[in-house]
Amino acid sequence: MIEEIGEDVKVLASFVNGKLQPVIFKWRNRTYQPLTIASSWSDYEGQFKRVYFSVLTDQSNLYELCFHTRNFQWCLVRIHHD
Amino acid sequence: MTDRVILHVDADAFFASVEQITNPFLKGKPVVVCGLPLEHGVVTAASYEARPYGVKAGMPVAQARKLLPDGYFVPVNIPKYLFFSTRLLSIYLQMTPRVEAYSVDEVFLDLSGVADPWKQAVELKRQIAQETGLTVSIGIGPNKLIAKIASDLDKPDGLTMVLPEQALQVLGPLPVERCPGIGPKTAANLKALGIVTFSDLAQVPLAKLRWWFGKNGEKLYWAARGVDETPMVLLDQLPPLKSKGHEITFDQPMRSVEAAQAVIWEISGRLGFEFRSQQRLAGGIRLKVKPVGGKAVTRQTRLLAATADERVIAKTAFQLFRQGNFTELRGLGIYGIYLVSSVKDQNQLHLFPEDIPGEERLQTAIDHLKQKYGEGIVVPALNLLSSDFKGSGKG
Ligand SMILES: [Mg+2]
Repeated sequence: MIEEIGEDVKVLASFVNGKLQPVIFKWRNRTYQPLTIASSWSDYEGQFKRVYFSVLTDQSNLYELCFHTRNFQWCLVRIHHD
Repeated sequence: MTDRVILHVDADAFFASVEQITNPFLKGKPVVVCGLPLEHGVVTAASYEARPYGVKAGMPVAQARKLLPDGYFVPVNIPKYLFFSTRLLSIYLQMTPRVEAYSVDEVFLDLSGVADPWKQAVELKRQIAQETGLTVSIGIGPNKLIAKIASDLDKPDGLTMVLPEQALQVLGPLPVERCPGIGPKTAANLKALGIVTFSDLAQVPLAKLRWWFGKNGEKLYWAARGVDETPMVLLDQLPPLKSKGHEITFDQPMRSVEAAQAVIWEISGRLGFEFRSQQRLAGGIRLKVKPVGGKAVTRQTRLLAATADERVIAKTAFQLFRQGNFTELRGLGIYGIYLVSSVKDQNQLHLFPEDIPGEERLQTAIDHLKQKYGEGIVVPALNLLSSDFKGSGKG
């Protein structure tokens, strides 16, 4: 089941070999970690790039995070519950 | 044109596969990619797991849900597929500069003169799987026609080579619909004439095919023999998209300046958003006005600075509009002209994991794909149309 969320989240990210990677995110007072990145892609809104990550925290949930380069804000786009 | 070696590379169930790659929970599950709105749209793509249930592209989503109640129905996400499409193109370009982007998930590669095309194709499949997680089916042939037919013979994840001397033997028993360009209508016409397979088609004299099908008769004649000299259209041979715009035709004649202004704002808003999405700037604006009972009139102007700002587009278009003395209109269109890329720094650091080396080089190809498949973007509500007329969008 896919649940659309679209809420801003706090993310702790790192740069590994010059690449951005979310490490921990906090949503509705809960902290999610460690994150395993399943996939990443990007698109544009206007001239600003949006970078998407689908991340796993356990075996039953997949979170789609989006980093918007317009305001450097992270967003939890949707959750897939298995 | 002798000794050509052409590869046709076709990503398997492309849209559905991308959904499965970006969401590992969907792997091995029946995935149905749906056009929007989700409940009233049509199926855009079905994963291989969904196909045995009879779910096919083009079918209403409601019908697909009946066939496959436990399927995973996901909304179409064109920007995401274009991202993967671009990644594939950049892998192909590492192998050869002679790449034709045939569609969002199909290319032709010209490997003429390459020592072992089979080995190259195996390596290509490995590299694509490793770098993207996608599988592709590859056909190798002496021309584009045979390569394309060959890639279709073994799917998914297939590899089929047809040597020139095998062409007739391979094509012979295939139904004529397998020939690119022969649609259901032509196939039905051929069937009525008793022509079902390529070998049936090859028996028909050229004069007869010309008599039946006009200038397409000759194409059919050569296709039946596996002969095709269509050249590659390489990425750098694609014409740049120089103008882009939208026109609105009114159901009833439009009479007021205020109404025209509202339409101008509506189109400008849409254009500005599209240009920003595509990282384009318009160096000029063209206004097209269709007066009632008269021929369309166009006026255009260059801008001092190229823009993707809808306010500048709208203001300029409105100035052009006021220069004419229009009374009754049946349509209005605005185009951005002298389009340029807004990406200034071509050598920017690749900071994000999804940055694709050489992406700039692929921009024209991506633009063509975008134009073909649409942006899949939501246009902001900028509908200032007054209620005395309704426009029908055309673009
Ligand atoms: Mg395909």
